[in-house]
Amino acid sequence: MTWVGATSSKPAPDHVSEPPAPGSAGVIVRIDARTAEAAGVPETAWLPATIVRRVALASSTTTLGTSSGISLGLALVEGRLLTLVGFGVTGPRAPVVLCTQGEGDMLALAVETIVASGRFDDVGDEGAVRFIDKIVWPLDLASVMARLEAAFWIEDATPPRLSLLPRSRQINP
Amino acid sequence: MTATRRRRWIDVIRRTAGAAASSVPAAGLDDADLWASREEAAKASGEGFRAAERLETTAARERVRAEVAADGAASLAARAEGIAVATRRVEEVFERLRMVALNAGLEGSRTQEGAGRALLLVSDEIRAHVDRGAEASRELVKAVDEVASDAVGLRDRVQEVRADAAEIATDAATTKAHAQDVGRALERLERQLRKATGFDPEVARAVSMAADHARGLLAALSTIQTSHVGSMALGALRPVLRPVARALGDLLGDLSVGGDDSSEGDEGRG
Repeated sequence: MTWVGATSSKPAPDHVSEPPAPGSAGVIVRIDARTAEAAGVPETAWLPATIVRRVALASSTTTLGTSSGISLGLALVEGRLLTLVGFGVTGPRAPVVLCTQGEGDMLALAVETIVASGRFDDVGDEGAVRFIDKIVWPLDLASVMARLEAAFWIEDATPPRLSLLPRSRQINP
Repeated sequence: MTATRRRRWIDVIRRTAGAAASSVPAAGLDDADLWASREEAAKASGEGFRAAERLETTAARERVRAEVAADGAASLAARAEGIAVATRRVEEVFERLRMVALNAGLEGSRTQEGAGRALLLVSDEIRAHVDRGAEASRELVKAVDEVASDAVGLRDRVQEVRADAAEIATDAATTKAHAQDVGRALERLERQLRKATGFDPEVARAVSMAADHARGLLAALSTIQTSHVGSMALGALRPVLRPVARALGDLLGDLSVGGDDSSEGDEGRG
């Protein structure tokens, strides 16, 4: 199997493709213990590089609502206004993981700490990785988003209110 | 000199001292005491006034020093606050650098094995240093915050000292004014005493002093007389006592004219 790197330069004729690096690439994050318990997510969680674009510090954040410890709001990150999904209290200069979700929309995931990034050994078949001597489970972002949608959007989408969601995703259209 | 003659001298002196205490009209001695007391009161009042003046000066000086110290403490607190702000900026820079290292690590994990591994290693190294730097920075912020807090506390204490110094200065000024009042009252008392007793203060002082010395001499001679070496000691004192006895004899002569006394008959013998 040929490793597809980020470089576009043409390989030399005698170039031997390097083997794929072992393990999975991604980011390890830590969530405040109380929030993690309320939200039903692991305290130390794993986000694969397939959904993570990069990490950053939010210039400012605002919360629109909270459900089970997970807040939904807006974050200003590097001059862009993004949807904020926050675990626990999020203040200015909050560390955020910029993730792509659904149709490629980017959202800012605010956590207590971004612990590490890199390539980590896989453990089992359920997407867990090993970090130092701990098994870290992935954070199911799709599930988190679904819960938030259920808590904030679908509930408020009853007539006569106008819903911003696509018609197919509305209840009682 | 025979023992009998010596004893007579002592008797003369004793009578003289007794006369100072009893033969001279009591009003005269009382007046002298009154004058002496007035003198003491005037002296004490003057000393009180000067002490209050010194206290006032010292309090004013301490107040100025306290003001300088308060300014210093306030300046220290402001500088500490400035350092805390700068250190927080450093902390923020470390945080941003940490993000850069994490992003480098993320990119390294996506890149080919060789280059990616190098990037990961660099990322890990930077992150480790950043973590240490951020920790040191946090400790520094904490220490600077403590210094700022202490400086504010110090400024408050110094302001209290300044307030105390101001209070002391006020009290000293009041004391000085009272001492001046006492001085004026004593001057009035002196005028009234002069009118009432007809004594000159100098004479009154001399009378009071003479009475005190006469009492002292009598007490000392009595002690010597009862001592087992009394005769020898009195013999040694003879050159001193003789003119005193003579003067007292003359004095007693004058006093006896004015009234009293039991010693009258002895004078001629003295």
